[in-house]
Amino acid sequence: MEQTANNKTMKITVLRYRPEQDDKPWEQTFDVPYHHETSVLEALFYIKDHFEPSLSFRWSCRMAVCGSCGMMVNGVPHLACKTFLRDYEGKDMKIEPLDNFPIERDLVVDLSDLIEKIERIKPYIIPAPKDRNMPLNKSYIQTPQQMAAYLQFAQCINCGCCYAACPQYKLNPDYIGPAALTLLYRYNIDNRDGGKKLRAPFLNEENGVWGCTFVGYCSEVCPKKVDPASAIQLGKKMSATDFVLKLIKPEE
Amino acid sequence: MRQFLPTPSDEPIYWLMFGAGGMVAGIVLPSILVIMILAGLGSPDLATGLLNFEQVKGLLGNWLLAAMLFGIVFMLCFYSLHRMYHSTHDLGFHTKLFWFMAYGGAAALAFITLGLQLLIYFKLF
Repeated sequence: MEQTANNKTMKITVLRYRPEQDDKPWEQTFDVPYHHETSVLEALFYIKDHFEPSLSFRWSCRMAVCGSCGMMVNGVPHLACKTFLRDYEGKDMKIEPLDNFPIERDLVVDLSDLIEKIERIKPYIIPAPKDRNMPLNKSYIQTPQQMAAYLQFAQCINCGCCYAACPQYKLNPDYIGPAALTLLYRYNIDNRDGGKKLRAPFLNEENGVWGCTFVGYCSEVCPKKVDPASAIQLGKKMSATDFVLKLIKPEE
Repeated sequence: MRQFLPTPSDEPIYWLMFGAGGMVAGIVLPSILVIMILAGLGSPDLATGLLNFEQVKGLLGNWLLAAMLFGIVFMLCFYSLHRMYHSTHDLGFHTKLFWFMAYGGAAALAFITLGLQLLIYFKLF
């Protein structure tokens, strides 16, 4: 970071945890100079370069595409690369690892539960039986309207911010959670997909859409404006329809 | 990967009724209130106005209107207590007692309403 003429500094407290040395997480405070364009991620780079080379945090793209740098900024889940110090002017800042996930080291959390849940709901196109033998040189047809139906829900970058925000996931770690349920719904409404039946058990269970009480904080914190709460409510509609249809016409 | 599949939840029943209750609370109840308030303001006389005692008792004693009113009251009770039950979950209280209090409360309020309606229908007061 270049030094600017009107240098301002912010007091930034970072939660540290080094498993081989520390019994429990502790706080370390730094005075970080910043200018108008300084993001939280750049502030962490500054701390690592100038004060504390051992500070660990995940990052990759620096442009809100990769979803690596999710962390709590003043208690709210944010992408560090998309959050700017100028918006906290005159305040102190506290950076902590994402809530509701086990801490691995400093700001790095263990996201394997999220990854396992995303894998569980089969987030890929499963061809319908009629498409199973489609020749490889033929493509699936999709209209712009059919794409618009799910496009918003396909913007998820798996940063984990919604899980850190979700009070249900905090209460019950078995709850499948916002990002995975959004992906489930996104593939269910894709016209090229025929795997609805395989995903139904995860949609219909107590830990599926019915674990949600529509607090809506996931949609508020989502850095990609995916609106997981809306996908889950639409998923409830889908699950309820499924429930009523099964009452009328039980499966063989 | 899990080897067994989870069992489906029975929450859809509650959720569909909750949704119906939400429609009642959002559309039906306000329209009834608007009509009643306008009727009351339009002819405020308690003895001879639109909403005089005998007229309202007659309305409530009509079996079709009474059945509709019972449905509305039951839906509203269910809707409010269902939401309260889920709020206790959000606040971290996890006991079956709240389940009985919420849905039992909704049923009790509905039975009280039904009792009052029967009293009016059979002209017991």
